[in-house]
Amino acid sequence: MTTTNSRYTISIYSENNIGLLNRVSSIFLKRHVNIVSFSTSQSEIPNVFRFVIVVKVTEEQVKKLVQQIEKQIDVIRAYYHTDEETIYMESALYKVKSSYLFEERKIQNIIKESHATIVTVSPEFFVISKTGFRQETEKLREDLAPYGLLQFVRSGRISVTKAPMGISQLLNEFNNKNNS
Amino acid sequence: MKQDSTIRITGAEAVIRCLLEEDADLIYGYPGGAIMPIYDEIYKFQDQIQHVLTRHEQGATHAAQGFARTSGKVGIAMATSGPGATNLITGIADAQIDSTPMVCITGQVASHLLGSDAFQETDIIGISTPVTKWNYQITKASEIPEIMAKAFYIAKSGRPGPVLIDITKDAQFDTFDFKYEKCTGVRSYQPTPSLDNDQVTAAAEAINAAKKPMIVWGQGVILGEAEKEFKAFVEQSGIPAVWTILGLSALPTQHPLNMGMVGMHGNYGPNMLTNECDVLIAIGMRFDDRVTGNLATYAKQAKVVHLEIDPAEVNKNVKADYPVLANCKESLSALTALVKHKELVDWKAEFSKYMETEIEQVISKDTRPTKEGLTMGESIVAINNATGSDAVIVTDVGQHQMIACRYAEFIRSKSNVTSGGLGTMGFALPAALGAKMGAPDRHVVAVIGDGGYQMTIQELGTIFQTKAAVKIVVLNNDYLGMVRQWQQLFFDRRYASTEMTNPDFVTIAKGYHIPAQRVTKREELQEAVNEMIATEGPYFLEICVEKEDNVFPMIPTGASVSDVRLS
Repeated sequence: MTTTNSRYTISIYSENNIGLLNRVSSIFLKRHVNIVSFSTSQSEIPNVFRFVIVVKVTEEQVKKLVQQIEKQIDVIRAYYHTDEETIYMESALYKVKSSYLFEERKIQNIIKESHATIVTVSPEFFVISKTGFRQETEKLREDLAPYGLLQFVRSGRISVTKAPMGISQLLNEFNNKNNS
Repeated sequence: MKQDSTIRITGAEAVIRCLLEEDADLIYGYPGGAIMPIYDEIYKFQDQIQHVLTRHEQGATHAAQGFARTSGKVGIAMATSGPGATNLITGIADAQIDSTPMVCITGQVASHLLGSDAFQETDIIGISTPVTKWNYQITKASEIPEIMAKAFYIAKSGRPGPVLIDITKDAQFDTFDFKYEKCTGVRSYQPTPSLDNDQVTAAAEAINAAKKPMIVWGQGVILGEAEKEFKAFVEQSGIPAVWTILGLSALPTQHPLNMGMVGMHGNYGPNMLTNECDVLIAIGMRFDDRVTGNLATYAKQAKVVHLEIDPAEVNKNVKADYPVLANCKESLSALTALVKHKELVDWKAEFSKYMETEIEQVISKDTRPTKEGLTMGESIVAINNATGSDAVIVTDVGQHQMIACRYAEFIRSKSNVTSGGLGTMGFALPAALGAKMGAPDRHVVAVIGDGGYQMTIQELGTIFQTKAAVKIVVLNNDYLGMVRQWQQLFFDRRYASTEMTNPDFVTIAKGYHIPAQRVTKREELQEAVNEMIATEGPYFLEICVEKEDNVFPMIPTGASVSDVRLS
């Protein structure tokens, strides 16, 4: 097994219980593993939540992390995947002074070339959004930085896997077993 | 829906009815403001449920653990919010790492006060999360039956563990229509993996091909109630078997294939031969660092078969060539049907050879000393003699614990109660009370050091009040002996804060009206132990032992199992 650190995306399907976030994060804390990115939302299944957590660790470490996560009572299933096995992206928001939009030609070009979207424009500021890979949102941030970013924020990674997950099937099997 | 048996009751009464539904009629606990409605129901139900008032909430958890370990049932500990709840944490952490089924119930401030820093409010859910198998905060009375049922199911199924249920005071007061259904499954939780026959076949082939196989068993055999299946497997295969500290007593000490203990203070042969066996069959154990020593040099030559119920333990510390995931009760039966019997005469002779060396260099000095001072080893032998090797031995943590586990003899399972994984000093006295209540017909002997004894010495009050016939033996060397041993061996005898100026323990016990005696001479020892065992009710015996004796064999931290030292 490789001993070098790689980027892995951990996907967790879970019940939506108060405290589960704490339980999951304590697994990383206990092993002194830093979370690179974290996001959580409703999944494709009603009342089932999905966590997407990115870590940079060895494969052996990520395996053990996933085993410990899956062991938690309220976790239905946990997986880990490499970047190649997933479709992933991040979103970023950039807030800039409105005067630049009209006075600096270059800004208009930057926005056009980056395929970013203007979300809102007001007399004082405008907000643009960009969705894509880290290097794309990062490049836009670097390009806009000289003009004074009033605010910048980037979301955690969201991702879906190329392979099927089979969670619905798992839950159906449980229901069938318990009803029979 | 069936319309039977709903009754309108308070949340507090519901908690008691849930406990009774789960056959849990013994609670260890300590009352306080936020749990008073439940205590009021304990009062009303006192003809059906027994509450034992420990003298500290930590004592309640250890007593519940002791009860669970000897009875096989779920232990119950109860406390109020805030400090009551935080005082449970050490026992919960101990139960988590030693897989002890326990349900802890804590009171909490009323739900409208949550987060307001109210009097005795603490985030016990947040605090207990890393050390519980599951926890949940109830804020509505109507949640109580389902959550309590789930708590019991989770605590005792699969790999057991502690569950904490925090109940706000308003949820205890509110009324609702109560109806109880036992929990039979949780969709996000698979307690026991289903046995894979291919894994069994592969493991059996590896075992059958082995020339020098060795079994290492742990507490999984006891938790899985698989002692019979385990013995059948050992006898069918003819393979020498060694134990981890928590596996102790699952196979009788005198069984010809019981070769002793592995680990830091384990037996010479089992440790040395771990690095010579060709197939290592691990059963219900988790390769704790105190068992393996340096992992880089642990059993590298061996193929590893690992029978385990918890998938997260497989490949965690030691790579399993042949994992068999299941309750070992099931996997052992399947495996026994496929393994061939072997005599393994030469291989077993190697264990005997190492044992002869150990007897000569260590055991005889420990158990049949010729020097003046009393030893811990001869004290344990005296207990064996007085109880016909059939006592429940409850130990604390340190030198006395290692000596007791090395020399105590057992003929029945569930007889060794100790704090293994967490190493909690102060465990033994309250745990012995619980152990006695879980096995009322058996002799229960607590063997404790003078340090750990003083960490929960207040539970003498509980023992006195319940009149539980706990036999308390303090092996007093006026030191924190194990730390002192390490200071001697690894810190050039700089005895930093390990010497203790102790009180008169006999007087203290007598203050609690517990008959007590002190032994300082060899010729008094056996008679004093006999008297202790023969006395009805609790008894305290202080045995003053040699101050600076060390426990050997020993594997220094970070060393290989085959670097085990005899002196």
